[in-house]
Amino acid sequence: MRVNAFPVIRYAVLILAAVLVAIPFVTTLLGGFKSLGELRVNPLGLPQVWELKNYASILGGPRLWQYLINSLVIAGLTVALTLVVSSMAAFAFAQIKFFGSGWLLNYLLLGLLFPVATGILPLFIKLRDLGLLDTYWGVVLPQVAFGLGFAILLMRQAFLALPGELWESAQVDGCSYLRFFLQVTLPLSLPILSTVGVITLINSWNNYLLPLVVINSDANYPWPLGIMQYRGEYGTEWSLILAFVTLTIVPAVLLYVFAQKYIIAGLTGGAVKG
Amino acid sequence: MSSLSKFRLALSLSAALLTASAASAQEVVNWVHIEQNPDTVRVFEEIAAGYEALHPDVDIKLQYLENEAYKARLPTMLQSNDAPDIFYSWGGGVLAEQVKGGVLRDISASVDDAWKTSIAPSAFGAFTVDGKIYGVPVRTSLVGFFYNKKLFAQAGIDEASLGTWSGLMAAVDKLEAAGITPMALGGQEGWPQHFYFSYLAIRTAGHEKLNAALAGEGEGFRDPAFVQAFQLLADLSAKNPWQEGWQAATTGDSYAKFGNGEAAMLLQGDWARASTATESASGQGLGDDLGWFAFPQVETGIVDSKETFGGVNGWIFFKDASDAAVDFVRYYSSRENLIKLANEGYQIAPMPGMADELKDTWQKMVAQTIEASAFHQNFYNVMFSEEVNRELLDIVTSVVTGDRTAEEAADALQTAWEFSH
Amino acid sequence: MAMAIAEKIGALYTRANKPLRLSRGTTTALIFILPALLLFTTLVILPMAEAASFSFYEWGGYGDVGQFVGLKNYQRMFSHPVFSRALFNNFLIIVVSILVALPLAFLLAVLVADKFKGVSFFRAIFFIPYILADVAAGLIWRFLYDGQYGVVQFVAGLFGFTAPYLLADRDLAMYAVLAVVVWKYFGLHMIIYIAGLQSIPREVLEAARIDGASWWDTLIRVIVPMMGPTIRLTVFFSIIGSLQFFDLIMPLTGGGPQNSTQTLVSYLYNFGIVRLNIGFGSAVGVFLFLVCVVFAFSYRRLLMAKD
Repeated sequence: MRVNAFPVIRYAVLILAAVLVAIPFVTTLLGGFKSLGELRVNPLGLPQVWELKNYASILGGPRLWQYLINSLVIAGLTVALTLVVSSMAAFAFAQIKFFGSGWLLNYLLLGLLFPVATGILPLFIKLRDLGLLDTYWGVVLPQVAFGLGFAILLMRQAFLALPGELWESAQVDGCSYLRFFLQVTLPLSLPILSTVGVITLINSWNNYLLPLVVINSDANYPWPLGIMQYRGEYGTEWSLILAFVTLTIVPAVLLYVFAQKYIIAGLTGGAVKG
Repeated sequence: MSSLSKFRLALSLSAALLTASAASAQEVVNWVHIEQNPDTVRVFEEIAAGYEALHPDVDIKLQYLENEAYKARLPTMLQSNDAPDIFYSWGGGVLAEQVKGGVLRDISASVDDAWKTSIAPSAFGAFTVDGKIYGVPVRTSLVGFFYNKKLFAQAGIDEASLGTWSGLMAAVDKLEAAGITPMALGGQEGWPQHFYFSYLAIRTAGHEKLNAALAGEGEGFRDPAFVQAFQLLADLSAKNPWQEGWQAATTGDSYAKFGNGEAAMLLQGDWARASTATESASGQGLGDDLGWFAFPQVETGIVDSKETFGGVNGWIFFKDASDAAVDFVRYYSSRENLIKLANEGYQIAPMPGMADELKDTWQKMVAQTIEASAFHQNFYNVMFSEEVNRELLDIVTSVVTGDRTAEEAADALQTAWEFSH
Repeated sequence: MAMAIAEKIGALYTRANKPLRLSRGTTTALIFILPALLLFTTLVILPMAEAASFSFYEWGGYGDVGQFVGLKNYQRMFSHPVFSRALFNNFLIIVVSILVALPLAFLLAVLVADKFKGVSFFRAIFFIPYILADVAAGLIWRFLYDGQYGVVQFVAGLFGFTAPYLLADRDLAMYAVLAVVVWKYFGLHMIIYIAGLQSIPREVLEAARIDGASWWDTLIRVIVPMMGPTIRLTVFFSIIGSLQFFDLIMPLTGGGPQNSTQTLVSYLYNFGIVRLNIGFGSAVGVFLFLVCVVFAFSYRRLLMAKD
């Protein structure tokens, strides 16, 4: 390797790439501070006059908060339920020997193969018959069901890596499966639980198609639906829309900053070794 | 978001904190509307508040959905047990589908003669399927050309020449020669360009041929009169009169384009008058430069056609809607409220003597035009099922872009219609 | 904190790495699996099976299942030009992902795989488009491409020419969408490549260096071949991602102009759900399902068997 020139070239390439990738974000953030008139002549640069009213009116109104709370509730329920259901299943697959284990595992992993969209119409009819349309659960339960394959796959791997001696000594103490699961398996698996939790959280937070079909009333909209409604309402008032978009991006960026280890582990761990 | 809705949010939050018994005393009526104009929404809210004052046990809840989003979600919305009680309808084929699907409440028993005659009885016809009434007509609209007087003067166009299609075509040429974009169009949604085709078809075929086609009689949409309407649209499109990027423009974009004075004409319904101001960059629109002319006569079509084009809209009811919901719409459609809506909310009702009650002279003219019309044709696309409606919009767009000839378009429309029957 | 400790304990134990297997637990196991099984069967498998059956009916979704029409929905789908266009667009997305996004991601991964000053900043910038919701990304780019306000138009203006209205032009709109696809998803592939690169043993790279191989030679002759499994995996992800592509399309183009940017899923949504044509939409869903399953199995068998 040409050691001397390399760092310089590397920085040059990276900075160029970073600028190109970041332009859309910066424009969006700054666009929210511009008046419509200025946006038109100066979409790229710093605002000549910093308009605070776009951000202020959105932050001061109830809508953004309502949407974010809905998203948070849906994501929270999805994460909790995914962790409970898939860790139980993964525990059984990893640590209990039983007839049909392999067959059942493959059955559940089928979910990895196709997207929600394929069965969305019958799913919609099913949710209607269950009376779950326009409820949080109508989004949560299908999200959990479709996320199970991925979650079980990752967790089973992690649980398999736990040493056998643990159970041997637990048995001496007369420990039941349930106690062992709760007191040994889960506490030792916090990293994988966090990873699955964070990935599930992001997927739920960003989900659009399922709530689009399931949720009807404005009061229950998660933010991706809310932002589309907002866009429909304020059609051409781009500075307001850009401010709204910026404010909805903030949680995602914060999540990345605080949980990047788990995000990356989830995407690569599940991927590279899966 | 208005302070009223903020108040409502606060109210619903505090209601949730109170005991369940306090909340159950209220009968909730959910009402979904697609009205974007803040003045109209304010009148809606006032009417709801007025009703609530008379009936303290009823809580009317307004919910707004954007027009396109509303159309896309309505089918799925009506599958839910929590579907809205009262919602917006254009009548026509979609209404018939909804009736067939059994998702609407038949309100025939509630609509007595007094109610029927307080609005125009014929307008109730738009919400009658197989002799049963499903909705209450509360609004009628008129499509025509808005134009920018200043830009017309700049291009040297005599407004008197706009009574004929050839005059309009000449005006387009003059505007283009003067470097002015002749027309604004929100092409992404499809229905705005279908206004051109529909109005042309009214001028070339008239409502009798449309009804014949819808009844499966004769050549249907392959009739030369429909081919001619497509051909006239193709001729106009060949001049490329619309703003650059119209294909991806929303209706709102086209209002802004016209309201900013960047295009000389806009073929739209009367509702667009307020929107061209609110959507413009200044928020003021064209002011005194805003003009209006009726859709021109087509010299090669029906001689001196007296038919007009626009929608009849109303409120329809979900199958589980309560009597309170119907009663509320009855209150809503009282003469007093409909006049208030027209004067303060820009929605003209199909009501006898409407024109006399209007304060604004332009609105008065619109109401008089509709009243004097030989036949007020409902929007073509809504006459069909949702499926054929969307197909029609695609077909019209393909004529505008030159991908289909007039003959091919008429053939495709007839095929689509036959397919669904 | 607790997590860090648990992780350390876990790491300590994984060395023993003797899988733990319990015995005599069929009943217990089934109780543990039951919730997963129930949810999965009701909300994933049953709807899929029902889609298969609905696809033979013409049904508007209101009331009882409509009329049996045999293969009519499928015939109609395969003869519908918009369907072919959607399929072609999915194919385009795959091609662009493989030819543009993956090489770009690989190059950047090589540049940020090891530690140096500012590395986490660069990784974050490249990765954030991926965790951003597709809907938000779609709105941002709708603005950037806007003919009047947009940045694309502005930049073109700086160079003294007018940019076409990208999203309004049926021949260009799909390319505009593809640019967003690259921007949005290369970060995911980059992160996967970084993990792959970091798992290449140092000794191998050292050996190459001692042999006097240039940076480029090392990359092509040593690194790329060793990354084979990882690259095959990102190709797999690109294809699966393309087959699900929807959220970004809706705010960006809605499938237009003139259906030129429909994908399989947006086609299913616009022609199945919006028109409440449950039978037709189900036929599209079944097609999508078959494509996904056949692809997943054959790809695994043919290319990823060794991985």
